[in-house]
Amino acid sequence: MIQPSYRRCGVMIFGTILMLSVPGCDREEIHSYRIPRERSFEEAALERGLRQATQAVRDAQVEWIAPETWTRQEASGSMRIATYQSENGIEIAVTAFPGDVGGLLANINRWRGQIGLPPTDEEGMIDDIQITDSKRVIVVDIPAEDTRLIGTLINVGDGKTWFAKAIGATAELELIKADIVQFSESFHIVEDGHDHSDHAGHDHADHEGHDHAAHGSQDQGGSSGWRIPKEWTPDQTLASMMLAGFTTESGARITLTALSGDGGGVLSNVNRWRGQVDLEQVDSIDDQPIKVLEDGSVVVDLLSTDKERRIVAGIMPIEGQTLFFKMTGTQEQTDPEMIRFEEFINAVAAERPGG
Amino acid sequence: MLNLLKPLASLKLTVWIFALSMFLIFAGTLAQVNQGIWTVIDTYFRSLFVRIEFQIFVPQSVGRVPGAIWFPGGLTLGVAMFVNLIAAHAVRFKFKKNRIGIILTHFGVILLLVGEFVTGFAAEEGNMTIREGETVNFVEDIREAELAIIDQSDPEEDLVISIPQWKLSQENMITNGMLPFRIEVTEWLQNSQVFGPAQSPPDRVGLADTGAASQLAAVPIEIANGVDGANVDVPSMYATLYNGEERIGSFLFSVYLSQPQLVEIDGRDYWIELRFKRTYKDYQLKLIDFKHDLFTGTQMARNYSSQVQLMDEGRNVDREVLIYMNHPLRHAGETFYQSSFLENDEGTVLQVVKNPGWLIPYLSCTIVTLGMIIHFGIRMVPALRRKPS
Repeated sequence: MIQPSYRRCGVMIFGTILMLSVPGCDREEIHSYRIPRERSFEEAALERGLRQATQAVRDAQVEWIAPETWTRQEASGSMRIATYQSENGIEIAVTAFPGDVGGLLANINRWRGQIGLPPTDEEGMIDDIQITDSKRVIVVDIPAEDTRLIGTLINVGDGKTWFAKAIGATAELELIKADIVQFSESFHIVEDGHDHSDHAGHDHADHEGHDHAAHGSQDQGGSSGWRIPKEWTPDQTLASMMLAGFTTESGARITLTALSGDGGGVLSNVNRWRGQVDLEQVDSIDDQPIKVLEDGSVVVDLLSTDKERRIVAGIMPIEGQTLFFKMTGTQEQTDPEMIRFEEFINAVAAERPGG
Repeated sequence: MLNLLKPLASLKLTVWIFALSMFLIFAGTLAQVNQGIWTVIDTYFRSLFVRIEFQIFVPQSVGRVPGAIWFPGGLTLGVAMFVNLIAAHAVRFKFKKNRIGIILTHFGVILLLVGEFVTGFAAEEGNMTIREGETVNFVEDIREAELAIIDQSDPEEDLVISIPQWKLSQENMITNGMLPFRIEVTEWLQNSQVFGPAQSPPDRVGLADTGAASQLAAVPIEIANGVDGANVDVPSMYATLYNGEERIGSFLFSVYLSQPQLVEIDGRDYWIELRFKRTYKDYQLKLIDFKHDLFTGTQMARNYSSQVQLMDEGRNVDREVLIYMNHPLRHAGETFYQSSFLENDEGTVLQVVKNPGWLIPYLSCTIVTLGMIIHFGIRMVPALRRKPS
């Protein structure tokens, strides 16, 4: 008599469970819906990523006229578009980046940091800025104790912000301030879209004695657009997420990639690289062979116990992304490249937006 | 009817259910070490049956233990306990004043079980991540991913086709009339780490041959176990797409990647991304300002707060709200807690919780406590009055 009761009990409980679990079986299927346009992925894809940004800048058809007393220098730095030197020895750097590059205040504060001044706020920055009559150029003049920085933010109308920047002694900069403003005012889009071969054919002296420069895809020279040591051979084909890849004369391999956000953070990347040279994982980066560069970038140097494999890697945060510089090879291959590798990181750091 | 309920009201059954529940909780706790808290909740405590592997009782460093047993899951045991309790009251219920404490305690326990059913079936939880100045109208479920295929050919609206995670992780070939192509999932990674072109382990190079992420590699890693802070799983998948019989290419999709990848099918562009599952809302939140205050002279956080503008046309709401620790925003049956923030304080992460049964556990615990106090009091008073013999 007992057995049938328990069987009945089991059946009833199981039935109840099935009944109650019916809503839980309601699995979501493939479905579609419409939403108002949030953003154009095509535009976003163009705006994001340094490679696209650099490419976009390089493709821009923008011209400017430099004062006749300025001489054009070899563009130093990977993102620098042009460098000039004034008669009194002040260097003027030209850069350009898509969008507003963090806004006026962020750029002013970055520049203030470069001459040792603390950040300012919206109210405080009013003392430093002046907008020209054309409304296209914002002149930022920041005096510090011994040095002074004059920078301009130029709106050419090509969806980018162009920068001209000079740092030097206060009195020396005063002498060329008017030239910098005039120079900045001269930036404009080439309406007829003529290419650089036209410009190359011009006699610069014809332009009222001015050096006439145009910026375009052929202007920077080199296939990658990055300023690289002559001992490094750039890869002919770049992978999609890779900004640059090189092989050095000594046989070391150097790559530069960009990942969004912090790219996993310093510790996890250090551990990943340690794993690649068969070193044990660590809980903290405190005791690691890490060097922090002036701009906040981090360089880690890892050597396998058999000294056969070495990874020297740099991590640099930049505009919501992180750049990863990585040199791999044996100690013999990497040793001769150490100085050039760090110089390369420093050059990129110096040319960050508004840098 | 009583005869029918009698076996269900058995005290032996109660003892068995308790014993099985204790074992299930023990096994679930051990399983959590490797499987993650949310996986264990779903597979152990909200399932009809669970396959318990013997390996969970022995650390993997000690040795491999093959084999497993099928065991009643939390749903089965919970329902059994519920039925047992109801049946016991139906069969043996006699209202007496001195039993009121017991009755209240049991009622509290029944309510607690009901509360868990309501939470299990109806609760929703997600995150709203907003950068300063940005307006957002969707919540992301960071425990579940979806493959979104987005058609932007209409200048005003995006058409989004969403494939749920369970399909991606369980089905090899996904075809559907809504999809512009067939998807063959070659590998599903519940949690992964994405490596750059020169960082990929050699055996993971070249698994994807098309798309913007073809030079990256995703490597499976242990799933987040819920005890290591804010870590969440980062799902990735390798998939080959086909247009009819024509192979388009194999792709790597990952929640880690912040950009969708472009695929052109018959002259039309589709943007594809694996992302945390989104639920769109009929209201919007705009982050006006995020504040991360520190104690003066230290790096110790004093306060996180989000100044947001809540816009809900349907409910005629447009107001500014300050959300900070222990001061959530309540709107449309949902609660928005200050949960986290983005790097460099660029934005905020709000936890959005909708749980119609959130009050039930508080209520049931109060009732159980009250019942126990009453029952204890009823027993204690005569005992105190009794004179020592």
